[in-house]
Amino acid sequence: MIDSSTLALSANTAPKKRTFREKFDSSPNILRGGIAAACALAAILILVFAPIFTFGDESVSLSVGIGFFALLKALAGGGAYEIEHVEFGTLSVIVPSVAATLVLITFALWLACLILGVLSAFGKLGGKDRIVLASANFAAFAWQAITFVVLIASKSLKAENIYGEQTAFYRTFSLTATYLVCMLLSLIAGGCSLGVNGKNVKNVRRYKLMYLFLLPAAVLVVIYNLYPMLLSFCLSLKDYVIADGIWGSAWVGFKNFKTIFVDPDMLRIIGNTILISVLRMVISIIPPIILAVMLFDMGARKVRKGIQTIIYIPHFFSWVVVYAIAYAFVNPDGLLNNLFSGDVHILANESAFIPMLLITDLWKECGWGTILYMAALTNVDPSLHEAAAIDGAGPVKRLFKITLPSITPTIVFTTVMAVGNLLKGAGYEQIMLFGSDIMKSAQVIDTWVVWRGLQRLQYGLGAAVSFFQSFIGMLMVIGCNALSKRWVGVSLY
Amino acid sequence: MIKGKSDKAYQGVCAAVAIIFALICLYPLLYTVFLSFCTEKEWLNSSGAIWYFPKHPTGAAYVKILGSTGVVLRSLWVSLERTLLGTVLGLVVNVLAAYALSRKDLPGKGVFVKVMLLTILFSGGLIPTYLTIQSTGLIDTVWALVVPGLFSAWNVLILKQFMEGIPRELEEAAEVDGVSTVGKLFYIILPMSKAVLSAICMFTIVGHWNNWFDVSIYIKDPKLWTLQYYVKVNFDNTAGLDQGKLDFLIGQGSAVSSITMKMALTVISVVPMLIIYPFFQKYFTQGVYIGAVKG
Repeated sequence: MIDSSTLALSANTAPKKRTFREKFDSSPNILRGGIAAACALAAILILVFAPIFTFGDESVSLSVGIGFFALLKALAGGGAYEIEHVEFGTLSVIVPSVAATLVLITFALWLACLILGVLSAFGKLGGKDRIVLASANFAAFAWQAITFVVLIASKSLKAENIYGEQTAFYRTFSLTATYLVCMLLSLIAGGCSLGVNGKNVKNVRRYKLMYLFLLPAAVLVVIYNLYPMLLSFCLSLKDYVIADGIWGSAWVGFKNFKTIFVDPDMLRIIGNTILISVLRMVISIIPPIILAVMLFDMGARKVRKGIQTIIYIPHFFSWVVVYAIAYAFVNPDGLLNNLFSGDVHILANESAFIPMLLITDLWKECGWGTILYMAALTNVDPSLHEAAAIDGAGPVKRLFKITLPSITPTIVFTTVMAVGNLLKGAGYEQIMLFGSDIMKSAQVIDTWVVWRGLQRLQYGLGAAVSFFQSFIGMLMVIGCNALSKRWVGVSLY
Repeated sequence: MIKGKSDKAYQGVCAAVAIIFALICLYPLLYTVFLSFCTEKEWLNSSGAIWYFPKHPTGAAYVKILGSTGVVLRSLWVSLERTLLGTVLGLVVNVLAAYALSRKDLPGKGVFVKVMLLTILFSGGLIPTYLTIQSTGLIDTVWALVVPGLFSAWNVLILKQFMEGIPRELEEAAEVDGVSTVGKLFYIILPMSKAVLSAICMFTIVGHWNNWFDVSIYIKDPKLWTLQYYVKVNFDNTAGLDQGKLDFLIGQGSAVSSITMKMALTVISVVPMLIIYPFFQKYFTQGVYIGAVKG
């Protein structure tokens, strides 16, 4: 394929000095391989000795030599080591525990990746070298991930320096951090080796400015999306103590999850969440379909436009405003209470809570919900209706034979996605407002995280609940999306 | 189209249902407005049954709220500030990212898109997000309401998809004419995606204006309360802070009851949405999939 922009550029560029990049690209294989290998080696060395640099107060000369073994030994489950015992060649002294074996295999994999990398740089692997290298790196990543989880679950990752001391700094950046960095690098190395070829390198240079454009988004994603995900995973495995900070707190394995799932309250809350979600799902699917079909079939375009304008308005109000409007009707002196001559405060009444949620949800979103179905309905060829009418099909028959089948894909898609969102679909904003008088019986997962996790500072428990919710939710959405794609060919992405 | 009797009857039923529903949507709004103009005497006499516009309307509640205290105006300003900052900066970040990702042969594009999908499917949850915002030092600043939501994977995906649909030939022609990368964005891409941009803008504005939950989590300082949160606090039975409450204003021998004050405040908080509603209306169709899928 001819690239017009390169053509346009090359037409008016005078021959200029060759850049380093161009020199590098045209240099012989051996030199390139050598540079690549040296870089890879340096990277691995830095990785292996990384824990060493966390000894801020130790002299570097002392530390550098023992980094690798200190890492191994600490991982092997040993705590306090005296520094004299650690020398090169003391590999045999290490207790061959399960953890040590795991770590050794991990290092072997790294080594394999390094050798493959060198071979590939020299072009010794043939045409498939990229694939081989990438899969080796990804295998290394997967292996590290597995070992990491196993080590954390079995609590073999000691948060100690080689003297057996638990200094805060060491706890912060020690083996866990090294492990995570190594995993990340393996992933990046794998991705790069998969992506690097002549065309891509050319494109990277061509799109320099585009990467600059992508930078703000990338930074925001890493800080406000990916980092919280990592925190969510780590916090759920930790006993969070404020004084120790996030990384200083001790790993406790799956204790938080155990605490949650033996708590009868939690099961009730999950049940509550699913109940409200299912009810809201029904409310958010069936009434809008009926309304949309009626709107579409009513004819009288101008009146329809006016009605549409009105019924979309409530969607643009916040739940606070909806609560305020509901309050106008059901406050102790309000219209409805006086109408039914009851002296009950409906908002503080537990049995009225869920109906209240559903009614307000219906009021706010039903009109807006029709918009999707209206779009599907207007796509139906009107001649279909006419032909059916000529053939003697009545309005009801046409409704079931033409109108409904035409919006079936949309209905299936929205239903399936709502099922995927069961754990999150309870609508916490609404519940926090309408349930503020009856906090206890109105709890769902999200509000529990706010009240118990955030306000009572039980971050570990809160993160564990969120992690559970998010993880199961993700699997459900992926599954449901696949189903929707298979059944009606509509999918989220 | 041939119309039989049954057709007309069916259409009539449909129209009736639709009109009744529209009235159900409209009446509570009007009722709120009625109450906000109601005098205390009329409120007490009718025992809450104000079905229509009050006979002796009074604007005292509005005068009181807007005139005698700076609290509401200040929270109105904070609301405007966060909406403006969030929308403008968010648009910049997301449009730039979408522009970059709409290049078909951008190396690394696949990885970035996959990460974006991951952020849609899996969220860190409230507490890790809170800790992140805390450690980036945004707590109790207006930026806590703006920065974390700037990047929106949904918006980038939608914009990207739209930009990918813009004919390549247009850009190539511009390149031949010597238009730069930035120039292409301003002269070709942005004008052509005006509709989808407006739809995204609309949802961002509405989202920011209506959001009170993040204020309740990240903002402790009453000076930084947004209008929605201020309304919420006024309806709260359990809110510990009294500075924001309107009750102490009503205690000073005003002619309206507390419910009238609350309703007037509510009306003030939705007026901006109602003002921009007609401008948004023509973008609803573009917004269909954005709003419906995003939920």
